[in-house]
Amino acid sequence: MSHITTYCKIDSSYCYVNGKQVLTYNSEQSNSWLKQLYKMAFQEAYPKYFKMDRPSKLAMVAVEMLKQADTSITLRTDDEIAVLAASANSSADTDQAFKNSYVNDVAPSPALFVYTLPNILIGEIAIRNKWYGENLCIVLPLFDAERIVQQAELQFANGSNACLIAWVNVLNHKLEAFCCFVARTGTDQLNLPFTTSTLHNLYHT
Amino acid sequence: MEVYIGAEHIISPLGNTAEENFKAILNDRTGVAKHNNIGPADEDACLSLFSGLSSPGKFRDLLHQCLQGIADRSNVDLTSPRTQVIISTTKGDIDGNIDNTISEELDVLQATFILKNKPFAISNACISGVLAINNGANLIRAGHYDHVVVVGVDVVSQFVLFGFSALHAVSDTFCAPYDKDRKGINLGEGAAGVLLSKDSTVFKQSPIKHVAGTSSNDANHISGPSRTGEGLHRSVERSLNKAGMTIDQVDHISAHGTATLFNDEMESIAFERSNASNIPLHSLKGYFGHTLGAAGTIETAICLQSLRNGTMIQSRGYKQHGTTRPLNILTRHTKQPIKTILKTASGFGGCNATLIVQLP
Repeated sequence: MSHITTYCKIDSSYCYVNGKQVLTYNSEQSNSWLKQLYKMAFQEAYPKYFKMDRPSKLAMVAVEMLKQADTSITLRTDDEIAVLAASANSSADTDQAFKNSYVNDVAPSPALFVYTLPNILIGEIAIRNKWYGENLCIVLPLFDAERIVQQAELQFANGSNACLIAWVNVLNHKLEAFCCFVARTGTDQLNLPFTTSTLHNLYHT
Repeated sequence: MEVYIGAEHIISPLGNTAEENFKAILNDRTGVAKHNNIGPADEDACLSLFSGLSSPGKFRDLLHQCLQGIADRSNVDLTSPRTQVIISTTKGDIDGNIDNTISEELDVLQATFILKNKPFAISNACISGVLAINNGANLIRAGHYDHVVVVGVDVVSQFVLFGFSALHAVSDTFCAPYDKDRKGINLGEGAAGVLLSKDSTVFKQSPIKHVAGTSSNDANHISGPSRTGEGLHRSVERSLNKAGMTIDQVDHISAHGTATLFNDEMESIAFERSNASNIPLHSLKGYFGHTLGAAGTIETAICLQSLRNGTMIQSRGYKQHGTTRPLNILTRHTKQPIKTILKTASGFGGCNATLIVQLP
C-alpha cells in the first residue's frame, strides 16, 4: 500500500513539515519571506534560487524540507521518482509579471518568459536533484485529492517507485504550496496511507 | 489490454479536418506566412495563423469545435462516467482573463458538454500533447475509464510571440528543422485531438493502436536542452522497453524539430544514442509552425493519417544537413506501407516525451 512519507505546507506566513510549524514570517527582518524560507531550507548556497519565480521558489523550499524529513529520498535511483505538479492558477502570477515587462513599450524580459509555464518548477526540482524520471504538470480548478491520488497511482502502475507531489498555487497575495512524498512500498512510519481522504484532510487542515 | 487511438481531428490554417490537413500537406501547402512588423521591436516573423493575432474567445471556440469534431467521428458518449476529457495547452486563453487562463476553460467545457467527469488540463510546455495522449492511454489501461478524449489547443498571442522573440528564438523566414541555416521557430496555432479507447468498435473509422509512451527530464537546464540528449534518449528507450520492441522495428520517426540550433542538435544526439539515425525522420513544424500545447496532438494526428495512407511526410524546409550527428531526414513525401511510428517531443523545463503508435 502506498503511503505518504513526509509532507510540507507553506503559505504567506508559515511553513509546516509533517504538521509541525517550522518557520514563521519575521516582519522585523529585512529579508523577504521567500528569502527567509531559503535560508531555512538550503543547507548550502544555491544561487539559482534567486532567478526563479515564486512558484518555483516555494516548490524548491518544500522539496528541500521533504528531503531533510525523509532522508531516504536522496538514496533513490535517478529515475524512480515521478514528479507530479498541479495548480489551479497555472503560471498566472509570472504571466502578469512578464506581461508587465512589455506593455508600455518596454522590452519583454526573456528571464521572466521562461517561467511563464507551470511545469518549469518540475525542471528546477529535476535539475537540483538530478532526477530523470517521469514528469506531469496538470491544472485543476480546485485542489482535487481524488484526481491527484489517481495520477500518482498511475505513475506507480507505470513503473515509478515514488512520487513527489507539488501543489503550488501563487497569484498576487495568495501563496500556497502543499507538497508530499509518496512511496509505493515500505514502512508507513507516519501512518498516512495514500488515499483520497488522507490527502484531502492533510491539505485542508 | 489494447488501447486504440483514432477519430483524429485537426482544425488549423491548413484545414478543418485531419483529412483536409493531410491533403494540404501532400500538396505542399503550409500554414506559415510572413507577417511584417509584428514582433516587439516591429520585426517580421513567419507565423501560422488563422487570421491575425489571437483574441479573447478564440481558444474556447477552437477547443469546443475540436471536442465536438472528435465526438462526431466516433460513437463515444461524452457524458458517460466511463469517459474522461483531457485538454493539452500551454497558455489557455491568455488574451482572456490573465488570472484564469485554463481553470475557467475547464469549468466552461464541463458545463457546455455536460461531462460527468471533471476535465483536467495537462500544461507541460511543448510536450503537453504527447503527454496527454499517453496519460489517456494509461488511464484506460489502469481501468479508470473506457474512453479518453484528448484535445490540444494553443493560439498565437502577442504574449507568446514577444516571449519567444525576447529569447531570439523566432525566425523571420520559413523554419528549416535540422537544416544548416536554421535560425529559429515559426509559431503556429490550432487545435487537434484524438479518441483513445479500449473498445475498437467505438470508432467510426478503424483505429490504430497506442502501444506505449513515457516521459523523462533532462535534469540540466530550464530552457536549453541537454547537450547529451539525456531525457529524450531515456524516454525513447523507456517507451521501446514498455512496447517490448527494439528501435529497428520503428518505421518512421515524427520528431520535434523546432528549427532552433539547440533543439535540433540535441535530438540528433539523442537519436544517435538510441541507434535511430537511419530511420526516416521529419519535423512537421514547417507545415503547422510550432503549435506548443497543440503540437503533440496535431502531429500525432498526422502520424495516424500517415499510417492510414501509407505515406511518410517530407520534412519541409530541410535542404542541407545541419546537426553534428546524422539523421535520415525525409526530403520528399514517401509512399510506402509503414506500421510503426515513434513520435517525440521536447520542451522548456527540460521535459521530453515519446509515444509509439502502430497499425493493428
